[in-house]
Amino acid sequence: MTSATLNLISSSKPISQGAEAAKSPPMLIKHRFKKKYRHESLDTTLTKARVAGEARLLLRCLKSGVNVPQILMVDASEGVLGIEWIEGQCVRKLLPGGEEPEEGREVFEEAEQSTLDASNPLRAYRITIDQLLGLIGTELAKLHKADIIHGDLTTSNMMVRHPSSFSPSKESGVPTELVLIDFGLSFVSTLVEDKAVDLYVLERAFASTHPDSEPMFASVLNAYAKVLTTKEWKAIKTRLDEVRMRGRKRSMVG
Amino acid sequence: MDSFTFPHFPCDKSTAHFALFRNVENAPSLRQRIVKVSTMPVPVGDSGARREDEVERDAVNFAFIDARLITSRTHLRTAIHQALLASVTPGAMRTRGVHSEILFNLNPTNNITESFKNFGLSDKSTSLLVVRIGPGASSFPSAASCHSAPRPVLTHEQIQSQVRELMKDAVIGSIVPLDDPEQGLASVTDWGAVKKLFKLNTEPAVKSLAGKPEEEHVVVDKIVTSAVAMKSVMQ
Repeated sequence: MTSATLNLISSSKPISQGAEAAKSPPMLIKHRFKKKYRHESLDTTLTKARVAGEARLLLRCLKSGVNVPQILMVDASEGVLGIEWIEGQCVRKLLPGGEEPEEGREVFEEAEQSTLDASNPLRAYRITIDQLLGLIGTELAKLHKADIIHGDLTTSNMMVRHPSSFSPSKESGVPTELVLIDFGLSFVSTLVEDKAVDLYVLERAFASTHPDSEPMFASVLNAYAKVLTTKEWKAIKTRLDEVRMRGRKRSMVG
Repeated sequence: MDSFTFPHFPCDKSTAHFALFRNVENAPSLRQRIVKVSTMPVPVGDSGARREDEVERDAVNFAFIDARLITSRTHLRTAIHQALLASVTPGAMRTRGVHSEILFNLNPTNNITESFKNFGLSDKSTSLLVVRIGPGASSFPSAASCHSAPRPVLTHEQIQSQVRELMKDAVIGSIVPLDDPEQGLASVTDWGAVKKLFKLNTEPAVKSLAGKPEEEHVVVDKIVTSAVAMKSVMQ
């Protein structure tokens, strides 16, 4: 543990905003630690390529107007990506059904949380479910318009910024914004197939985490379609129906 | 006079002192001094360096950054942090010193001469951010490799005022607080020049915000800061 970046990590709190001095923006550190089971030089090459890839995709998103966290530090040789800390909550926990704990340990905390926020966790964010679903669709459309495929769309990989840390523009009237996170599996592609699969992955994620997801996903698609041209949307819609029939992987037969 | 502290770096470079100078009057002569120092013969061994040379080298041993192209405190901080990171990673430095590495990191391309021309001191500079990397008063416990060095123990304030005097000797101008709403960085940044240099005028994020300068500045700052942070892995 001699590298400066590792010093920084050891002085940080896991999933917290430690380490950074006052006045500087809090930072989230995403550390791809060394995998001992891999040959060292392979591990270094892979880690470097992944950190570099994720950083490039984030910058591409920023330039295309997709809401993503800004990059604050990159140390590719240590596998570290430092990004802006988003004050808020992930969408999974804001939609019905998402609150259910994944591990037993969380039960207690979650129970406390839900009594605090009364019945509707969205109240603190001053938006309705429909507005939230609309934000998701719009953001995804911006992403795909820039030919970026997220690759791992779930409601856990979307965050809603807390209104207290967001200064809304006058026209939109929405007191918050949706931020896409985790571009570890992302890539650039112009193919309709890739965009349709991206949406399909999200549809499955909705179906598996949130009860009665069909109308919810439909309003996401509705907002998505509004940003695209009719032609673009038609192509993706047709392909999405195809993907639904056969699943995410293309048939290898023939 | 202001500082960033980076306690996770070795203690001889755990602090960046900086000041924003406005109404700078001696840019041309300052630039000549820097050029002269940089072409001085590099001392070999202990006896090689003449004493006056060393004093002169120390007197202008700063990063002089054209403040018009700096968009925020975080932007500056990120550039310094990435430069420090390069300086402690073997083989990562692209320039000869940590101060020039800051200028290099700020530039969108990998051309060193170009980065000095864009972000460095020019004869016409009137607003400068002057940065000096140096030891901090307190250092990270596990990184303390130079605790045994026979350095007199100074407080942060003492070091700061020493550096400030050095800066004031080099630059003729007035120091203004970075965050001052009227005189500070916010009034210096030339957003048009930043957008042009980073070729942002055609990017959808910036185009869609035409006519809304406040929102546009937030977006441009985000892009520029991110570009600096990811410079080392840029294609």
